[in-house]
This record gives sequence, C-alpha cells and structure tokens, in this order.
Amino acid sequence: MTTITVAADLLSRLAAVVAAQPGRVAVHAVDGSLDFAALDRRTAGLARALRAAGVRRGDRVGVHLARTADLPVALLAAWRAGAAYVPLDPAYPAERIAFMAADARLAAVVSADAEPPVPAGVPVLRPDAQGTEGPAEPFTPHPLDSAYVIYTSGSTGRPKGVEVPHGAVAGLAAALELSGAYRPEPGVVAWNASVSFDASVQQWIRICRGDTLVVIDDTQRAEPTRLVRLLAEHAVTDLDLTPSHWQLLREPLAGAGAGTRVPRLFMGGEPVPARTWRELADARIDALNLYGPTECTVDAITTPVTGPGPHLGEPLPGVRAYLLDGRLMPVTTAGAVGELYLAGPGLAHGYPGHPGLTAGRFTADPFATEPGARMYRTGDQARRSAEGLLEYVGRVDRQVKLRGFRVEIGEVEHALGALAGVTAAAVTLHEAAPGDHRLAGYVTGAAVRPADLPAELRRTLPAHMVPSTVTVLDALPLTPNGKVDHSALPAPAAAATDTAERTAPGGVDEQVAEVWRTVLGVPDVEQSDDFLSLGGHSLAALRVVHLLRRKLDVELQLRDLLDAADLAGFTAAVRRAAAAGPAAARPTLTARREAVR
Amino acid sequence: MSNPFEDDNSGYLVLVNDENQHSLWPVWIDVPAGWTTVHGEAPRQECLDWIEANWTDIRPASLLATLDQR
Repeated sequence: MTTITVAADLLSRLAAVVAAQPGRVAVHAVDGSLDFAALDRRTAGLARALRAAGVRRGDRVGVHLARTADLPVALLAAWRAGAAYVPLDPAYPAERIAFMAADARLAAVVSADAEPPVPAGVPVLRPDAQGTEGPAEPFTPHPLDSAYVIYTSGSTGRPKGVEVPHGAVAGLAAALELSGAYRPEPGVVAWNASVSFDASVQQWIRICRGDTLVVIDDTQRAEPTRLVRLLAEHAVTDLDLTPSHWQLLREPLAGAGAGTRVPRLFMGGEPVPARTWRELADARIDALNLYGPTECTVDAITTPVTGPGPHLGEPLPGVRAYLLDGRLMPVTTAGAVGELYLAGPGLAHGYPGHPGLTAGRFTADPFATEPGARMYRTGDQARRSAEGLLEYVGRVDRQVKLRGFRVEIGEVEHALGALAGVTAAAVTLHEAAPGDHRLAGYVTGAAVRPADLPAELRRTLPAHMVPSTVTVLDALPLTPNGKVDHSALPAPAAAATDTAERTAPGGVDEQVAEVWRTVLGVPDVEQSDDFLSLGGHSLAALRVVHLLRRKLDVELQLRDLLDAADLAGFTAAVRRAAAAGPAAARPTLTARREAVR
Repeated sequence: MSNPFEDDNSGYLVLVNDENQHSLWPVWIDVPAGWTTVHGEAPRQECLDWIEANWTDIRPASLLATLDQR
C-alpha cells in the first residue's frame, strides 16, 4: 500500500491545532462548548481513565453517549488510549446494543447511563471520568492500528462490524483536502449523521484539522426549522446529509431569509435523485456527491453536483476504482454495466469475527502494481456514459428474474425516477400470489398521474421491466440512516391509491392515518396504535409532521406527535392545530432571494 | 451479470498474502502477484469453511505482531 504518501495521523494533527490555537472553539453542543485546550484536557483525562481501567492498544471501547460535547471527547479518548471506538447509539434497541457490545468484545464502555446494556464485567466509565496517572506523551497510532468498528446490517439478519484502520481514516481526511472537498481554511462543520453511520466519521474527524464541530442533537435534527436556525447561528460552512434529509431541509433553508447562506452540502448515503440533482445544480448550490461503502472508509468517489444529471464522479486521491464484468475483466464499452470494485489504502481490515465473509468480499487485486494488494467487491453496479461519466446503476444483489428475464431493479428505479413529475422512485419485487412475482413501483410527486407512468416507462424499458403497479406515496419510507427502506414499502394492493382517491375529501382522520401508513410502511393502522411501537423513529416522526403540514396546511410541531399516546391522540392534536390557523408560508427554493417572511 | 465470487457450481482457491489476509479466488482466473494458494481447488462453501477455521483474526499480521509485543 504505497500508492500515496502515508497521511499524517489525526491525533498528531489535533495536537498541532491544540498547540497553535488553544483558544479556538473546537465543539459547540447543546450542553456547552469546548475550546481546543479544553478538548485536549478532557480527552487526555478520559484516555488516562480508560488506561487505568485496563484498556490497551488494540482493544475496543464502546461509546454509548447521546449527541453532546461528550461524544467527540469519548471518541478521541478511545484513540488516545490506543483503542478503536465502537459506537453504541443509545437510541438503538437495548438488544442490538448488547449484541454489538458482546460481538466486539469491548474492553470498556463510556456511558452517561449507570447501567448501559453491555455484558457484565465490562468496565463502564462516565464521560467526565478523569484519570490522573498515565503516560504524558500522546499515543501515535500506527496506520494499521484499528480506529473504529462500525456495525452495518448484515444479509444474514445480524449486524456485522466493519473494522477500519487509522491510516485509512487519516487518508480520507487528506484525500478530501487534496480534492478540494475540505477547504484549506478552518470551517464550521455540522455533525449531522448518527455516530453509528460511517458518514459521521467524515464529519467529526474534521475537528482534528482545526475545524469547529457543531454537534446537532436529536431534537434539533428532527425539526428542520430549528436545524436551519442552528446552521445560521453558528455560520455553519459544511453540512453532510442524505438526499432524503435534504428534501426536508430545502424549504426551511430557502425560507430562512437572505442572511442565511446554504452551507456546502456533502450528499451521500444513497443516490441523489435526478430531480434533486437538477434542482441543486440549477440553483448553483455548492454541493458534492460522495459515494463510498463503509468497507472503503466513508468516501471513495466524488464529484460536484453540477451538469445535467446524477453521476458518481472520479475516485478520491489514493483510491482505485475498477468496473469489472463477470470474468473480472474491465468493462470498457460505454453504457455497459459492470460491478464496481475499490482498492487502495482506504480499505477496511474487514469484518471481525467473519473471516469467510471478509475473504469473499475483500479479495486479491489482479490490477494492483504492488503485489499482495486487495480490492473490495462493492456489490454496486455502475456504467460509463457516452460522455465518460461514471453512473450508479443499482445493487447486484437486487437482481431478479421474471419469467426468465433478468431484471436489474436499479435500472427500473432509475427509469421511473427520471419520468416527469416523479420526485423519488423505488421498486420492489412483489409476490402477488405464490410464485407470481411482479415488479411493484412506488413514486412520490404531487402532480404525478400513476395511470400514465407504465405507458411512459414502456418508452424506455422492455415490457418485462415495466412494473405491474405504480403506487403514489406521500413519501418513501426511510431507515433511521435516512435511506429508502425498501422492506418497509407497503404492499401495492394496500396502498394502491390513485391521485383521485388521494385528494378526495377523506377527512382529517383518514388523512392522518394515511400519512402514518405511508411513513411507517404498514398496510393498516388502528386508532389505538402508538407511533414508536409501530417502528417510528425520529426521522419518521419528522416526516409525518412535515407531510401533514403540507397536506393540511397546519402549524404542527414534532412534540404533537411524540407526546401523543396513540393515533387517536395525535389526530386530536392535528385537529387542534388546524383550528388554530394555517401554517406559515413556505417559499420555494428559487424564491429565497425574495424571502416572504 | 453473475459474480465470479458467488458461483456455487465453480471451483475456488483460498489465497493468502504477506499480511496473512485471505482471499477467496475463482480457480479459473490467474492468481494475482503476491498471493499464494493455501487451500483448494474446492467448492465455494468448503473454501469459506476452511477460512473460518484457519484465519482467526482478520487484522494484518504485521499489526498483530506488534500488538503481541506490548
């Protein structure tokens, strides 16, 4: 792994910032701010406490903390103690946290809870623990020392960890600087992604290069207007988000007034829809598309969001990207689909505890100049357009066969999403009757006429690739990480509402229930159902409020949903809000120069 | 497009590099430089089982060597 110079390790870079600018603000959070001197003091103290609890180089430390100033302190303290950190989001179910804690064989856990759900015998330290004994000299990680283990969902039904070395994380920061994604001067960075999602790494490590980190807590994140105020208050320069989250922020951001500038947007986690791409490009919003699997340390390929449509861009410095066919031969024909393989120093070690899985995904690299190098098989399909742009097509593992025809669901989604009026699209394989597999399409878009879509699709797709049904939804269901949750799409029959039905005067009760069904992806809801027990999470709650504000023109708060005991209680709150008057005007993105408010 | 690492009807090798990192490898594709065959040809699942039994820590060997010295 000698293709690029080894990047300076992040702890050394942080130490240089602390020495040069001790009084600069390092962290803003709901529970207070830290300058670089205070950040250094606290991380050194917690690192010493971890060492005193027995943590050694090569160990793993669980970090079970809410989104406060304690969080970056604990992550850095784990590193300074020589350990890798393992995020244990307190919002996750206790059972899942317990599984990860046991699977990762944690040496210690940092938690504000007295009894976090971790195995007995694992030392639990409070985030303000301060050791007094210990080595004075800071730990300098070797590039192969593990930096973190982040769990992702596994195809076998249990989460699997991805173990990433320090050299890869330092290389990510250096590559984003070289590519211009990180500006040379210190910025103010919003920490938006959950710490259990590897997009967070790209955000919080920026503290090590002297950027100021604004830790967004869950309630701020869940209220677009509050989040937009926070961005303005701290003059945030960089915001990382999924395209789905952007859909919720674009209106409040547009309406925030001429004094608020849109930060540079780092968009990742899922493909940017064509309509969003054009909207950002046309409005000349400073946005980057970032592509990369967790296994290749967050970001591998990037491009500014400009030009006519979505594409991935080019590999970051140090990253090698190969588009290969089923014989591992490079795909060179324009338009031909291949699988994307990634190589370079950004590769993870693999999946700890899963050597077979690791050996099947991180394989020998036949194209490397240095012997013994590995490449990662992404499972993502891509193609080169006639113009030479690398375009995302879909997942290899969502390939389906229909009546003998091989169908790439990703391609159908692309085609559906490209139709006029469609703002987002998803396609699943639906078993209408045993053995009767059909493609089910789902779209969002206010003016879309679902009956017309199949005919339009037949213009670009062979008949066997055209979905049997197209269902219009108010929103696509999302996972807690903000990606489209295909498994939560409703059965097409249950939600096969056409535009006429949807806009029929169904009454508030029915409209509220419809929004719950859509967002939660369940076929039916009862008046006695509780939002959280149906699988609702904060981003889902936010979407319910957002959709009802638009649909019914009411000034609804997130609290109205979270405080309600059940659907009946929430519907009553919606009625009260409706009686109180219409929502404030919501200007569109293009109207932001002439802000209405 | 089938993937050469996912074919249950094909033969596979288990390769190892200097860092003791293991790779599943299709027997009909040339072994890349810097890798040696330690198992196979064998069916895919048998290779995966062999890797599970013989590669206990997926971290690079040079890192594990320095951790042992601590």
